[in-house]
Amino acid sequence: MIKCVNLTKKYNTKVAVDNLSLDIGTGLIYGFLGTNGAGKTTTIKMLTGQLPITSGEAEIAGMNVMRNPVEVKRQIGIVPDEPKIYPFFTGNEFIQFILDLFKMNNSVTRKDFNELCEAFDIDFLNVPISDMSHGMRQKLMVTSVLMRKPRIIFLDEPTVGLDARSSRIIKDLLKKRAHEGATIFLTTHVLEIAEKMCDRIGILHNGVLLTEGTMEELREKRNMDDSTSLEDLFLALTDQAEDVQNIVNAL
Amino acid sequence: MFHDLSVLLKYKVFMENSNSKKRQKNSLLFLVLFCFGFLFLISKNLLTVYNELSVLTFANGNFGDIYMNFIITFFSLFFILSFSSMMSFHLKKNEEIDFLLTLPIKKSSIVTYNLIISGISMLLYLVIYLAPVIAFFSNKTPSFIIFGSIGVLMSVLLLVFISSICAVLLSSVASQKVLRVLMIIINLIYAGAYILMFQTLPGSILNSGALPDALMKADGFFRSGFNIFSIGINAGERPYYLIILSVLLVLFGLLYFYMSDRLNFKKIRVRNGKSAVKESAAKSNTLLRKELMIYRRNEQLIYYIFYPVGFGLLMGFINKDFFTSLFTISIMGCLFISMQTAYSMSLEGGSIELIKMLPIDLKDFIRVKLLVPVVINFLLLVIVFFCLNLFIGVRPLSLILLPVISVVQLMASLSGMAFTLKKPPQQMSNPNAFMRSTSFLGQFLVILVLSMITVLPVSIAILQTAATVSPLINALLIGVSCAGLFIIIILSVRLWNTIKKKVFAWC
Repeated sequence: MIKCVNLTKKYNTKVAVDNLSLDIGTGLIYGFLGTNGAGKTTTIKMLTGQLPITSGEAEIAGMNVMRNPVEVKRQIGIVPDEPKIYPFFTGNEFIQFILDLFKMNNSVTRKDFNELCEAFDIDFLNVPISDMSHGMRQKLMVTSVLMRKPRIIFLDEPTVGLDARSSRIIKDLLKKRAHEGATIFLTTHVLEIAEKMCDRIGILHNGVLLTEGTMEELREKRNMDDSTSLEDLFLALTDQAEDVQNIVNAL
Repeated sequence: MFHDLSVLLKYKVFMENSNSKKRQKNSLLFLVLFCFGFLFLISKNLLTVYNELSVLTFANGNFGDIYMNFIITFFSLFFILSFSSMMSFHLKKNEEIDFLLTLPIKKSSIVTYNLIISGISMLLYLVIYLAPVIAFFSNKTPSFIIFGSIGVLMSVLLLVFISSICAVLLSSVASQKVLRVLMIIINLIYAGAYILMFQTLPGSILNSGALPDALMKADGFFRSGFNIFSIGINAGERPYYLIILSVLLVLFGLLYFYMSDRLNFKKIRVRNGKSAVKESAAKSNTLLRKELMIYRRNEQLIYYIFYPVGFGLLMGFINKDFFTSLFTISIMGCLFISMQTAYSMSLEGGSIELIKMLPIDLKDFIRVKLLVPVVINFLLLVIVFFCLNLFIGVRPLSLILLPVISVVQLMASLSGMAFTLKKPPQQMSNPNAFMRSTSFLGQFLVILVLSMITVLPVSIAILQTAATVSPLINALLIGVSCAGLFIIIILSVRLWNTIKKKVFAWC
């Protein structure tokens, strides 16, 4: 469902993403991890047709992203790291806008949306978006994507700013959607979430994919035992474990 | 307080990066030069009016002095209305005020800081206030001018204090939306009042040789010590007015600091409520509806649409002349259209990521943004034609002007959008930021010149009768317009290419 070969993004001389190749199948939750500035958001933006690709190819649901950006966007759902929504809309108007844009203003989608509102405790639909908190906007953004039941969902730090209840609902709902056949591509800094939720994990560092596979495969590649957490694995792979220890000792 | 204020101003003025600092300096310089030019022009005009009216005398003085006292009082009131509504808008809670409230700074310092920041844009209103003062002092003795000048300075300070008190009161009771509407209404009335006070009223007095009854009856009050708005200029004749002004300044000053220290910076009221998505049939033209919603939610855009039309209609009716009206509407309309697209595009700034995420064809996105202001203005122009035809009479041939004006307006729309795309405002939260740029003012000038050389000659050719303009001159006029139109089309194509390049670079 999500495929890219030698995907590269350069900003002048700086390489943000370097020769990234991925092949993510149907019904999987893929965790895309990395340090700050590793290139995770850039990768999502390239895969979803939001950012021009410097070189390489990206395919979503069999469609070339660069050639069919609009059609690709119609098939997928994107939850960005910052929910930047038109401030002049109310919550209700934003949802109407999305429903009309995706030509999904039907009773089924509306029913799904209302159920999601109940689940996320969304009782602020008449509030202008300019007056909403980050958490409220995030809930609205997640709901606007999930109500459409897209086949592929990209989520960039979806739980940031959400309360524990909403965060748990999102995680469970994503698992359910994956079980129903959707492909989920998510980035997170909360490694416990990735460890519990993701079927496969990719670790990006300075634009380069260091490793990729299931938790077991990742442990095997580093010769680590079964009790090794994703956090330990991540720090070891990104050469930060010793650094962290030194800093703590110095403090 | 002065320490807080100096730190705040230092942070605002000196902590900007060198580019924006340079831009700000240029804009300020442009504004000051513009104000001086404007002051010179209207002072000169008022001086002529004042000299003509001063010849007409009666028992208590001359018509010129009554007229000047009247307009100074009137524009003092407008100064208070404009300044207080604009400043109260700046006193609404925003990110900067939120941040400043976390610091050990007195509220009065925050209010005064906002007063200084918003006060810069009031220079033009100050010019309108000062012009009659200059005319009034023109035939006075040196001692009158010295005391009068001190009085005027104190009056300006008094006006600022009164406006600030009103602003503090207004910001506690009115929402941001109400304040924006209020600002627009005041500006529209101001424009109308300016024409009536500076053009129509003196003309009518000179024609009839008498003052309107109401003005005559109110003269006693206008020039008395009870009229706090004119005691400044009259301090030249009665220096003891300076004492009254000093007392008033202390009183209003203390009241200002007392009230500003107790101001609760309010945010817009939030309506909470649970409601399901409304049952409705799927609608097409989502982008168009979104664009219209931008217009509905931003009173500033409504102002940009109706100001040239209202002003042009007023000019047409006052002068009983279709040409004046049409010319004003088309030229001003072009300038305001470029402001509409620049403003509307700036509004997209913070949410542009959303557009990139959604399955939106960017060509449609641009087309809608460009065409909405042009179509709205075209429709309004048709209505204006209809209205003026009813009351003044319009030659059917003048309908040819409609497509010509529309082409110019389309170019204006393209230039507004290209400007925002080329120079996106640094503060995306402020869609008006483009107005501070000197290059936008330069672009304004280009639109002004092009629209004038395109619309003016063909309008003269069409609206004048064949008897007054020779066929050769007619052909020449049409030729100039055609050349203007040609330049506009070339420029529009270039602007369109720039826009496409910028927008399609997004994805």
